[in-house]
Amino acid sequence: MSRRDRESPPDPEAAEPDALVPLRREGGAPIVSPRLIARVRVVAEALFSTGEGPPPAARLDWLCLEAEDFLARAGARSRFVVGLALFVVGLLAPLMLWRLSPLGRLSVRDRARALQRLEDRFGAPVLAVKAMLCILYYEHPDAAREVGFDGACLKSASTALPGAS
Amino acid sequence: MTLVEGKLHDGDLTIDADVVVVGSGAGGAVVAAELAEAGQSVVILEEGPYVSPERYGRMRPSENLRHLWRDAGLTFAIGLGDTPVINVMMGQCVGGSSVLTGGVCFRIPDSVMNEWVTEHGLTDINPKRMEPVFEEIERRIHVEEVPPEMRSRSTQHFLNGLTALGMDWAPMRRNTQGCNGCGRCNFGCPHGAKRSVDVTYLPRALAAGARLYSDCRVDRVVARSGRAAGVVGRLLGGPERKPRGKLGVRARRVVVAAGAYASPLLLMQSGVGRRSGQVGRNLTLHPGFRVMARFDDPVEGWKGALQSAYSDALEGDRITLTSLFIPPGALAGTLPGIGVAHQAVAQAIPHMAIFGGMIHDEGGGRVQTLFDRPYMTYRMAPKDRAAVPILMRRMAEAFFAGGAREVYLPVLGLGAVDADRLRSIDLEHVPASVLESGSQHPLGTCRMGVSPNGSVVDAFGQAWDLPELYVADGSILPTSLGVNPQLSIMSMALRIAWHLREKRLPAS
Repeated sequence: MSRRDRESPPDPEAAEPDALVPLRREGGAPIVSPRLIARVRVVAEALFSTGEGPPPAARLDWLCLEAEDFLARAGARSRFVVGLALFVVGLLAPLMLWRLSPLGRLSVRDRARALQRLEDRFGAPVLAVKAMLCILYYEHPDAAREVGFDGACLKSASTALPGAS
Repeated sequence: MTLVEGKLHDGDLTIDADVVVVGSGAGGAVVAAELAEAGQSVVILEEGPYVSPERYGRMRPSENLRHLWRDAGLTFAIGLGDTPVINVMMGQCVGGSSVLTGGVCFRIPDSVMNEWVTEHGLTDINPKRMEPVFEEIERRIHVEEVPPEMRSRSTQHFLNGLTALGMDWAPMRRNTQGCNGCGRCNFGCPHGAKRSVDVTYLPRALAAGARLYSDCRVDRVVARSGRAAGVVGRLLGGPERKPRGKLGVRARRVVVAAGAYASPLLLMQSGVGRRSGQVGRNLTLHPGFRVMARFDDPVEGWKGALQSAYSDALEGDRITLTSLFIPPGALAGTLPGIGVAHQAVAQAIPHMAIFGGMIHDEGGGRVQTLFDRPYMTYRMAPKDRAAVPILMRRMAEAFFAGGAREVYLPVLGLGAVDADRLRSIDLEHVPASVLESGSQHPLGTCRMGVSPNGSVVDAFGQAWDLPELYVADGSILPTSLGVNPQLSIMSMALRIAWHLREKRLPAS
């Protein structure tokens, strides 16, 4: 457990959850490539954008750290699947607007339009990315509150097996 | 005796035991407890980590996925032919998938057992013989009916629709005690109410002297003098859970209970089952499809038991309908829309209800390896594929009969569907490539039988071509069940354990 307050349940009233230190290799090198996380952010900015623009930067920072930790623990095969889906989405989405520039170079509004068209026509790669991002994003207390989720019960009893660390 | 976490063990590890059990899930835990209580020296090896109920009870769903599920829940069966890609979710932790089920407990249906008797010659596995086995498991894990007051509004809306259409339904039974219906069973019960094997059978096994080692990957079953004599593998450690020290267990009997995905791989790596050619074949999944519906009034489907009712009204089409719910984030991820459109549908999450349908499949799946990397393929039988549009249409109709404003079918790119549009959609010709499907029930890859030509293990789980090697998990089921398999797996494992308890151990 690397989150400082991992022993506490998420507090829907908290303004900003503590920053996660993602799982890294011994020595501190990242397991997940920074390029992959950059692609996560490019899609997340558009996916969760509103009429007023992308979500707050702090929330996206939090999401990217969560995504890095998730993918680091998910194993090489899952990282490959998500990485491939992100690559395909990044490649195909601009073409939906007849643009050749990388997805990240498009405005957030155009990115959202491009991703929407891609989802409508070839949903599978978008679904793979979107499913992971949504699971993570809506665990942010503010994001959960914005969609009316009041949090499930999280208290626990003591039933650990003897000898556990 | 206590749990030893392999990740904390330095160097190699060599152990002696009467019986080594590979896997600590619904099958392995039952065998381990029964044999340990019979006085045998038992070692349990689990590839996944140990995460205490206190810890997993506090985890958010995504944390649970990354710590307790194989591949963080991103394992897939590749669809062959007119078959969708199917997300197959399996536990990889002490307690296995039992930690991550909705707690649903069905006995093996009589019709299925009768088929095993008549089609597979398994005459001992019949309703009368299995009755005491079921009763024992149900007593040990406290199987009880979900009371009506614990039903979520999501489930109740769908049931109202079924009733309006004249379709039968019934309350489910689950292995719970003191459940308060917080609706997150799939991510580990936060207060120990779900009687998964990590809080039932494994403590029993340890109390009787069994030794449980987590973070231990078994690579091969060792044979000596023509019989199984132990296993070898590696201890896993470090941030990426990479192989570290060597693991060796010398045992007089080996029980493999690693599940329908990992057990056949271990047998293949050990050169077992070549005679039949059936190892890894006959994979069934119960392909599942979710239908969501938006209601005008708030549903807040996360309040109430995750799973509380089912319907077998479509049994003639080989479909079972089961209640469920998923976390809001997962729900949002399957709803259509990007940006502003996504925000609009996400705002409707508190108004969304969900119900699931699964197909009692014939099985055309396989677990195999390519360059030592395991993967699954699955080809739907034509009649299973034909059941998919029936499932979607009937579930949508039930939701509309229950008052839904619109439904979301598991078809990518389809968007919201109202009652008028449902009538005009040609669901029968939706290509598999746009179907969303998931499974939590891989079964059948080391199937049981009465002949070494068509099966991997005999009627008591012993491998045909390696004496003293037993398999005791969902992989031995000869066919799919059409219902959630937890209790069936535990019952088959208990039946094998009772047999082994009476069978003399070979000389060491």
